[in-house]
Amino acid sequence: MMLKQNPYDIPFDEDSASKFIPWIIALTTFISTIFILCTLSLSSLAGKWGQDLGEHMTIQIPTSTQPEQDHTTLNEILSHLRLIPSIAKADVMESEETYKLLEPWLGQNVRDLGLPVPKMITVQLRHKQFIDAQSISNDLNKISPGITITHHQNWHKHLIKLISATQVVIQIIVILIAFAALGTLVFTTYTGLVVHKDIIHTLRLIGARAHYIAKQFQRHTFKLALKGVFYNFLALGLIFLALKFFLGQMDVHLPMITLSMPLLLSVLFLVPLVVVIAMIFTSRITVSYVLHQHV
Amino acid sequence: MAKNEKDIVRFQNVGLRYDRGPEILSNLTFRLEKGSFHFLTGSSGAGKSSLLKFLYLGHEPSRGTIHLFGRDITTILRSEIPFFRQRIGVVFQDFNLINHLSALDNVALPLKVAGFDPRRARIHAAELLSWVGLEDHILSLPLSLSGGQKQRVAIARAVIAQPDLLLADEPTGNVDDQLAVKLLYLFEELNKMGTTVVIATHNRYVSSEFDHPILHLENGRLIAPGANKKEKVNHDA
Repeated sequence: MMLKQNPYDIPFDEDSASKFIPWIIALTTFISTIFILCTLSLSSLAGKWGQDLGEHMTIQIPTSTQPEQDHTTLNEILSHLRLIPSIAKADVMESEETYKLLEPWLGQNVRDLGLPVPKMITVQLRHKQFIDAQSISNDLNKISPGITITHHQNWHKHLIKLISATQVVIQIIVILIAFAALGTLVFTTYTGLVVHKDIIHTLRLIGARAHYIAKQFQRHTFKLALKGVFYNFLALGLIFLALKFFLGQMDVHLPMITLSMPLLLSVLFLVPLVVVIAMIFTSRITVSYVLHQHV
Repeated sequence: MAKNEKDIVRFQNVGLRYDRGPEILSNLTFRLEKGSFHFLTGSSGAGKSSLLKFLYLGHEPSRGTIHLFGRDITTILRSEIPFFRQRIGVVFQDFNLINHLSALDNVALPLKVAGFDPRRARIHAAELLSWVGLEDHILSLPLSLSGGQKQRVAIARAVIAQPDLLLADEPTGNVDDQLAVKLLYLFEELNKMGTTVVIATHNRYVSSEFDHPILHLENGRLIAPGANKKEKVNHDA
């Protein structure tokens, strides 16, 4: 029989409250995706920085008025450092290089100021080797007092703590947004049940189970959720293109690019999937619960 | 649920009141045998619709007991109610058609909710609409149908699942006597197939045309039997 069948027994098109659902789903999915990508990017960047910076340290040796003595001290320090097994390389930084580092603070005529610029030694550690910076500092200070060691692992630890705290805040925000979206859906579904109560009552009198009616709401929510997911992809695409364009002009790379493509695609597709599943289940559970309360 | 119970319906001292108001129905005691056909008569406001509402589990009695298909309705679990209702066809006084669905989809509903294949349900619904003379209005929406046509759609919807119990509340209220009699012949055909039928009507012409027992309500009470030639109703009270 070639007759067009109405897919729903309940006229959802007349339900104005549910018209906002695709936008709520789009917003939830969009924000969650962006936030999750940010969290993952931060983790990835922190890991990369940790790898780069954690394997380096800088030793600062104050200069005295006796250059020969300074030279002897420098050699002694280098010899001491090269004996430590976890150190791969220890090099004295050229004076010109040190001046370049000071230029941003002291200006281009830093060389003419006659300042007692300290000698710097850059130390490269062996990969994944633990080093006790404090113990080395103590040993070096016995050779020449006033030596300071800057081990980047220390501030990397602080950075990791900061990133972890940011991640927790982001996760809390995502959870709150998800709850707000689900709460809105519960309210909208409940409104739908009230708006269509006469038809639902008729269906119940005909023998429709709560499951049958819940399935109709679920299908309707699924349709709305797909619309929302489509809007989300549209918004994500536009944002990525805009960011790429503007950051490209400033010669800055998108931090997301530090994520691997499979991970990026997983987030882009898993977040909408989880949101859609959560939405249809929430809709179904709300209808079933309400109908079981009122036969 | 026992399918072979002799009494489809059994009322025992049933009363109904809303909140603390007066009793709308009092001391109803009767039973309906499987395959019987009854008219439920009484003037407007006598309680016919309220009595029918008991039968489709629309409300519970304030006192007394009602057995439906062998089960005391107060012991029926909420989750079981839909299965009981699937065994009952109802023609509501105000039809209760779903306005955004075509006549065909309205009629197919009871089969759909019972889990039948929607396509086959629609084929069967189309046949039934032809049976009630609405083959030209299969895709019409209820709002475009006349009162009589809506009534026939409601009747087709009530009978499509071949219910064990068919209840009709003033099914001839919107049609002339001639069509009313024709519709009642449809109910009789269904009755011959084993369905227990209860027709609530205030149309004396209609009830007098058929040789079926009458349950007569007056001020919420069943009036003594003898209103009809064949006595199938047991008034124990």
